Amino acid sequence: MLVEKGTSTRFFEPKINSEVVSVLPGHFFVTGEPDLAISTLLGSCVAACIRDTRTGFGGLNHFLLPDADAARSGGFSSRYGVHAMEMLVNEILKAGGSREHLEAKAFGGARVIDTSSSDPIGARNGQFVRDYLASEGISLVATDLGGSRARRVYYYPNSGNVTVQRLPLNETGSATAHEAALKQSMAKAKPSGAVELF
Amino acid sequence: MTRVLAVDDTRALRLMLADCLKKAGHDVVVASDGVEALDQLRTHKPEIVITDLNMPNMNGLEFIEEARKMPEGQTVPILLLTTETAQALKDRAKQVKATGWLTKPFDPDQILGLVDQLA
Repeated sequence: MLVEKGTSTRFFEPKINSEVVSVLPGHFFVTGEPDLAISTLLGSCVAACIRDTRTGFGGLNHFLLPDADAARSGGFSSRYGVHAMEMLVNEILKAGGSREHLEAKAFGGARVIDTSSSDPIGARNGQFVRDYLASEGISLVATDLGGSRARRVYYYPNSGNVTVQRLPLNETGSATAHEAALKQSMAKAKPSGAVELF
Repeated sequence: MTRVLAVDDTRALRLMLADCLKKAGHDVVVASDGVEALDQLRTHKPEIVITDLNMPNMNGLEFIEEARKMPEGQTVPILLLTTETAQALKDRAKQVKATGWLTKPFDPDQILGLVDQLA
């Protein structure tokens, strides 16, 4: 699986005085629990934070697009991103949400992996998430995309509030290592699911 | 060339699916939910249908159940293409006479192979 539902390992984070579930690259997590924060560490990856504003149910995903032409709308190489977005949106709709009440915020897409490339992966990820949300008619109400610093995001789906911490350059390495590992595993993985004929 | 009906409420997925089928020379009609899909089935009489499961208005399982009652839908192969993996849903799919179950993300070669095999 290229996108997996995150495990529900949770801990108390004194920095924000809140219970937190941490989401790894390639995963997503949803909750309707008030005051529970979902957290993730982003370098060039992006996280879409999506909630239904009426039910307060929502979550975030964490993904990247490995291919150079991936941001093209409708291009098949955007499949990783499309899949990550669909998994998250489906869980929210299944919990009683409706498309017209979805609200999104997007974070990440920094230039941390390929600082010399003319096609920076972070910018591509950021553009994809903007295009995708526009195409699906999901309103994007806040963003913090681009730049050169990794970010730690805490998202509270129940209220829609987000806290973003920009990490100092010397702490960006941890985000970069996780993302490089994800990119490598995606290059090896065959992006196809199972077939069953009845 | 096969006439394919592709049904998904996610625009990006409809585009990707239509793009991959058209590039292989197939004729593609699309729908964004089960209600639209029933209309398209009646109008275009596709030779194979690929449908999402979770959709507003009428989901993929309800669509298949209704389609099987129509002359245009009685024997046409209908594949579910979904993020879902639960056995209870697969059992329901068999009950409503779906032809098969594909788990997303889809592989274009896999889809094209199935279209050639089933249509």
